[in-house]
Amino acid sequence: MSEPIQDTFAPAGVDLDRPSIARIYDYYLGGVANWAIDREFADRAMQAFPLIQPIAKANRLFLFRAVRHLMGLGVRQFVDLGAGVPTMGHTHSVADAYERGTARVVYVDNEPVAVAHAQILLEEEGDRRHTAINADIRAPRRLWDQVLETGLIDPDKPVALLMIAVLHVQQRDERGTDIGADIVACYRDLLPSGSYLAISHVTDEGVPAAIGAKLAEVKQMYDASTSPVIWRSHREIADLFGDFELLDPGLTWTPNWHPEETGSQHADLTFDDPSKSVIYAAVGRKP
Amino acid sequence: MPSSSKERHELADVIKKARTGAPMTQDELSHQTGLSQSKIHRVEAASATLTMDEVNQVIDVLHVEPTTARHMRSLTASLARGVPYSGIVRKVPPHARRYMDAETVALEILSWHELRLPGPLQSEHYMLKQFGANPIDVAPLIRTRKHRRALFRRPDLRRYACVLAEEALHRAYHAFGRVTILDEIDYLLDLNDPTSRNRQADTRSSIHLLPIETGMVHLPPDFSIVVLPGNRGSFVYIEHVAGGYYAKSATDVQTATQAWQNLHTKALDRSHTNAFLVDLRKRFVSG
Repeated sequence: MSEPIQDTFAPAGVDLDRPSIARIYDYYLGGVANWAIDREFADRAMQAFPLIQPIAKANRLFLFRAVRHLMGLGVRQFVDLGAGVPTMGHTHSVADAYERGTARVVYVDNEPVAVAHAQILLEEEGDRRHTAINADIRAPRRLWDQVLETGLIDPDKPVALLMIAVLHVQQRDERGTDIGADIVACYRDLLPSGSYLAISHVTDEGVPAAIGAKLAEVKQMYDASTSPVIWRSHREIADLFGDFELLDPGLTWTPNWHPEETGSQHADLTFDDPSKSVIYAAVGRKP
Repeated sequence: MPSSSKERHELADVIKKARTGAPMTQDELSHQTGLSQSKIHRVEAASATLTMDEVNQVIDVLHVEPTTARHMRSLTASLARGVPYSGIVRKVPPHARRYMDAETVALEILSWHELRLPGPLQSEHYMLKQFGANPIDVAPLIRTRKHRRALFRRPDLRRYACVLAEEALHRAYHAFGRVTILDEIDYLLDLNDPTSRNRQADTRSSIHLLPIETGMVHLPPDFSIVVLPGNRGSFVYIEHVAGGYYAKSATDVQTATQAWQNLHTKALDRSHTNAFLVDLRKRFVSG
């Protein structure tokens, strides 16, 4: 069992004066749940690094494929951490398109506006199998209690925990230290046996040199304007899975992870060199 | 902490204690009361309240003992007197409620705003800035905004036309800052310009800017003329410093309509309004 993480973080407020990671991502994906402050930042980032938009879309396609693949493996419980704003296709819609009426999804985010949008969308859809809650990813035990409080997730059955493009946003403790790896270890302990962990994460290792330079530039922009980010190496990302067994094809670039699962409703996205997608992705199974 | 917030938290604690003591999950309580799980989650997070009927259902289902049940009803009644409106609309002053009710059924609305932007024309960022949102209020505020925006998509709406003084935008720029007003202008263009980013514009609704250069010295207070369906007639809603006034006589409606036509004649048409907004946006961008 890993060392306990102190669940002492105060609830996040609504920051109306800085760009939001979730809404910037929504803008990259072509969504409408973003503000001028987010678009202004995203436009600057896209100007510095035009590939950022296809990279974001490829990451979203990995989420879709992972959900479909996990549905195919019989998983029907999903906890989507750092789910963001739900305007451009989401876990529950992919799961329900695969098999209507069987999956349960709990979306989690600490940004109140994103959570509000998710709650309103789910209310309008009127399906009580899914919900969205406001919780802090850095407080795993408290977050897990909140997830179970919803009554939608059976803790004795396998759960798919999705951490898609979440851990490259620094999860800082009170001292400003990134505790991303520690909290993932905690989540691995909390999951019941037979559960799955899906992670996608930006890396600057193994990417073309010119793109590495762009990533450094974009990192500086995020660090200064929104939330500090961290690019991990292949090894560091693989370590996030602990003793979980990685499903084939292991930790790989997003476009290379089960491309056959893309499905007809989503246009595929290819890169002339998969490493230009700059995001490693994998799904691991808890023994 | 305002008293309504204290009461909301107290109600949240009492309900959660009763539910977990039952013991029952949020999902089970949802199924037995007919309330959505997300609503129960929000009530327990002190971000929503219940109507008296709903709290009585909760009391029945959870078999709450009489003293606690009285306390729950008392808190619900107290909160109902304070903040919530129609279960979804909060922070709405009593004098505006009749107007907002009418907005949901009106066939035609002609409005004039010199000092501030009316609710349906407020971008999400502008609206949250205006209310100084804290996390507790975000979901109800966003829900209410969405509810009011539905006006533009109602099949029976014949016309929504707003004459808006340029001053309102300058006032917002100085009050809420550059990025908020940029977001607001983007939103106005979305509503008014059929070629805009999100193509939300509808020929039945229009915004007409009244530039400062128009040279009108005497401007009337903000007012809206509302035409209701069937034989429910029309009224003029006039906001003033101490509240709102509803004028229903045919003479009052006719006088207001003439005043609105006078403002409309001097204001810019749709395409010139859009060009003006684009130009104003550039000026705000450059500070």
